[in-house]
Amino acid sequence: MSIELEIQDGSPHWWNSSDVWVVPGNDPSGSPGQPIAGQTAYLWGRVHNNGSTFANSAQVNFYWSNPATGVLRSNSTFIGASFVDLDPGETQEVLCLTPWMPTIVNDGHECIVAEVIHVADPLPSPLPDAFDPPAYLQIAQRNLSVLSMKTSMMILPIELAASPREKKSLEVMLEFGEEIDRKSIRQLGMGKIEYTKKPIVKAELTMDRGCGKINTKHCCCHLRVDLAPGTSQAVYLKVDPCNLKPGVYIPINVIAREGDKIVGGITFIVIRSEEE
Amino acid sequence: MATNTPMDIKKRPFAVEPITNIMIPDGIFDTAIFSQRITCYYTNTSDVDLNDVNIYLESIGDLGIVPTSHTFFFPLIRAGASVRVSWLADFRNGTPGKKLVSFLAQAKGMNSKRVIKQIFVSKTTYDETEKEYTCEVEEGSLKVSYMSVIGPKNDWSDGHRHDCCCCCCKQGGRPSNENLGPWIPKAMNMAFYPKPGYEGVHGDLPFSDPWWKILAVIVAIIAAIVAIIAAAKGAGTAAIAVSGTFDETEPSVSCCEPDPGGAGDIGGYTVAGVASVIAMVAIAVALSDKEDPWWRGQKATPPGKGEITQVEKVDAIFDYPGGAPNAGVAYPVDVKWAYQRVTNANTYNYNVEEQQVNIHISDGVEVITPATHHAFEKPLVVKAKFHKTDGKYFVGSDLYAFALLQSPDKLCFRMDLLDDGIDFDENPNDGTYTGAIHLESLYKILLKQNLKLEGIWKVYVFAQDVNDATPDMLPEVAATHIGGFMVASAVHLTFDPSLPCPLQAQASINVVT
Repeated sequence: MSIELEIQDGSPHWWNSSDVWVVPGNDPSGSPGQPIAGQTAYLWGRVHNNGSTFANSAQVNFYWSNPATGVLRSNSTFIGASFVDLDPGETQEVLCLTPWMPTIVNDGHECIVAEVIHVADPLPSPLPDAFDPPAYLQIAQRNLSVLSMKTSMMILPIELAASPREKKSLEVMLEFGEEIDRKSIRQLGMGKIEYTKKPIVKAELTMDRGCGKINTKHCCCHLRVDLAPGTSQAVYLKVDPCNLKPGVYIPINVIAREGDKIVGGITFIVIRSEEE
Repeated sequence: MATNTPMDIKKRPFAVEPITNIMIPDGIFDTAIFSQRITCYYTNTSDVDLNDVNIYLESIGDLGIVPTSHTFFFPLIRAGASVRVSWLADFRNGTPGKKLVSFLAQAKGMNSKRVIKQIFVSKTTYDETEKEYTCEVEEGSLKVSYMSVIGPKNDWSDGHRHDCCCCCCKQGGRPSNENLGPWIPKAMNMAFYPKPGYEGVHGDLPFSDPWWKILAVIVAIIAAIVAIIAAAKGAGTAAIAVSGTFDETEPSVSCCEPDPGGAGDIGGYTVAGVASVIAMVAIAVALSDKEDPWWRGQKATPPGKGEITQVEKVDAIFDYPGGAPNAGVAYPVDVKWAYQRVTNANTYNYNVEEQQVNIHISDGVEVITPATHHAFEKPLVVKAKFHKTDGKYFVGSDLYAFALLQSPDKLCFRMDLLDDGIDFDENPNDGTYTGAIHLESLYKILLKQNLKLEGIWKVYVFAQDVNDATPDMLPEVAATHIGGFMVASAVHLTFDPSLPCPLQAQASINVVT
């Protein structure tokens, strides 16, 4: 007799869960899509009971945080909570009706986290600061957003943070990703769009926010960042849509490692903006 | 492939104050009352019975409103039946506005179905310095700067300024029934400040639904039930965000005060709450369901082109030529009101003197109980039929109904009355509201207090109508649909302070063991 609740991680990257998604606009029952900065959105989660016992009144909490690789409770904002009942083996979609307003400064590129809590399937106490979705079935993260580009280069800050009493030594890497599953593409509100492996964009990871051109050609790179306890720092992802065409996309992953462990990641699906 | 569970909520969920068990007028939630029950009727919309139905509240669209999780289980919900469900929630940090609430229902063998409904939340505060209530909604705020009332004689021997908190102090910290009202409105000065100011004849209605007058009733009800909640919760317990204050009492007239017999118990608070609703909704009667003074005043004072209306004041005086207001009765109220529109350029006035009559009426209640009941044999069943004036009955979700069951030693127990076809209610929507309680379960409570089980038990029945406005109605049409009026009550108000407000039992049962 057990309750085993799960919000599934993404695959191949755990931070791209398709069990957490956003419905932009005023209708919480509307179509999934990309959050729009400054406009209301609603969050949904999908919760599974893998156990053999009915789970009554499990609580699902939703959070958002700035674009970051490792997401901490201490730098995330609680959005709202919902309740869900689950029979053994059942899956239920859960709606959080607290309206979420993605901040203008992040332009909608925000990370969302969902966790499900039940007394019979608890998270550790005290709760660790890092959400650490791979370590807990009950927690999943969606750090996947669309980067809709015109012709000019974009610079995106990505936050790296250390817990209040823990220093961190991170290696941050940039890579061009593999094809994203259709479900996740649909959840971002994108219609027919094709993946390409071609070097259609240039990207660079830097510590410098300067607008200098990207010199490397379709490169991957990495940075080493040391953080004192309780501090945070930004690294900058520069993306130049040099050969980006409408109708195709390429994912860019920014991955943070601490030693051998991947502690976080963020994925941008780069597309050509339809507005010119 | 499984189909979706055919359950729906057809009427807006409404607020029930848990101590008095009364529905707040028009079902509006107010953050001044911390603990409220989100209550609704869930209807089986299909023509087949549903088995093993779970219903729970999933989420509320306001982080400041914190519900208690609970799942209701119904082994059977008959075709067309409406079941009443409610969740306790803490509203103290809620914000005013229309809030979404989602509910899930799932019957055996079917998919769950989510229903998203709106609730209306206002925020009432009291400014001790200005002696002014403010009831905020998204569309603006209503300020009530003066309220004169008729109340029980004991409460205003000084003839002026009745302050509930002071009464509490006079009574040694814990109010008695003596200061729980009712207070019948005599005059009110109100001002609505639209947010933002508007151009043209009419501004936005609160929540795009009820008339502005409902906010005045909310303020008056809160002022009236503060003392009841404080009495129930005890001194020092945070339960309500405002102090109850009326500015002046009418020295020449007094009304009765309720005497349910069990001062300080559930019956006392319920009866006091019911009496407060009956008394205070007289404001809504006087200010008319069809079009309230704000709407009529706006129509009568069209401002000039480009003028922005900044404030709309209504000063109203009420008189009761047929005696005190009562539940379900077409009582008249003589009303004089003065509307004033203040724009950025001009001031416009419109005055009315008229008589309004309560239209939330019924043709009485018929209560069916056994003459004699054997306490330990089976549950005691109470049935009530509420007559409409057209010869028909109120049915199903038309009413929020409950009964007080009073023991021979006058200890009261509350009982829900439902027309849902469950347990002892034979058929849903047949106009028979049924409640049942096994006296065996009350025996221990009575024993603890050295009270008798055997003897004459009395039944007091109460019912409020439920707002039946639908989301597709135009705001000015939805506004004419108002709920929360008492259509049946065992307590009657009079202007005779020499006797308690008559509390008429609708049935008596001889309980034997």
